[in-house]
Amino acid sequence: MRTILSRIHDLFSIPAGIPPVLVWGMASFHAATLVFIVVFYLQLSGGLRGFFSDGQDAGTVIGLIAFVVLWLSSYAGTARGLEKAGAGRFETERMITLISTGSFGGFVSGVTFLLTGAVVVLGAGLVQAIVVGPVKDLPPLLALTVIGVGFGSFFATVIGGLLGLVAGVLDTLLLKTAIAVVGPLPQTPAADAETPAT
Amino acid sequence: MAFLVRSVHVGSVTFILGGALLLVVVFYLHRTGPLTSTDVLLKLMEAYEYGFWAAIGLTVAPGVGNVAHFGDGLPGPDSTWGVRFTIKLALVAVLLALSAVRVLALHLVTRTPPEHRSGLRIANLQGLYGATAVVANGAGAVAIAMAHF
Repeated sequence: MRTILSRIHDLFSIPAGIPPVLVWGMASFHAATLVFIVVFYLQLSGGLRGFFSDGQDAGTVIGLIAFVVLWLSSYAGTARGLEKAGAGRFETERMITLISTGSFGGFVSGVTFLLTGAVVVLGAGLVQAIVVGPVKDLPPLLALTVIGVGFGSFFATVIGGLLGLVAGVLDTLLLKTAIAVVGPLPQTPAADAETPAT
Repeated sequence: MAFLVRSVHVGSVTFILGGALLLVVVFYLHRTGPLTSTDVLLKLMEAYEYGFWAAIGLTVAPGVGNVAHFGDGLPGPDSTWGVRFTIKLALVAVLLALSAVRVLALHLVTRTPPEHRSGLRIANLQGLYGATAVVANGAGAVAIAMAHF
């Protein structure tokens, strides 16, 4: 149990040398942009009408929970991606390194999304079984969730990796833009000391 | 429940608008009568970023809920409402990209030791917050037009 908790802690911990506000900002950016792109595409293609509606407001609650799970997953993936990109000196890394670490971050996000989603589904099923339904509904739900996680893990890693690759390209372009706006980082003894010898 | 979710949506947008405007006012005051140090401004910017990105998440999720609430009654993209909604979404796209650049630029500046910041264009970073206020107000104006005109 302690190992699981410590792994969860490691997954969401802030990498050394990376300010928490950057992880928070970029993770939120990734989650919001993913949802936004879907909505924008549906709006332009005329498919938005009724797409998210289930005829009642229950869809709003489910959508909110799904977004929170996506947000958490994005946070874990962004934190681990930034950590892999060079812990505090990612802005000096080569473009290909940043893009590949974006793919890694997407992979982490995909797996986190799947597992967190499974926990939420099981939790909701447990509450429903205890409050309104017979407890005998739980075993089928548990079996379905385990099967879902088994099959879903492949898609979660592939889709997460591909989305991470796109996010890596986008983030790199945004970073280059930010450098163009405020100017390149001055060469300082402290920054030089953190840069590995090539 | 629906009213609560819509309230979170509107409240979050209010923070985005008000926070950015507040920073612009502080920048103006800093120029006319400099504050103690640049660090004060950077801390203020950092605090805004925490709130801004929370507000973005709290705006996007209920925003989708708002769309879902319309169901099959949602006007098409060719209607007047639909065109305004497309414009609003385009402004949100600009806001998201601009804000990602902003938080990255803030990271670059804060990562640089104070004694080496003279080579950085910190005024441009302040300009990004001004641009945030302009774009967010534009999106807000379109949203008001969608609701009332």
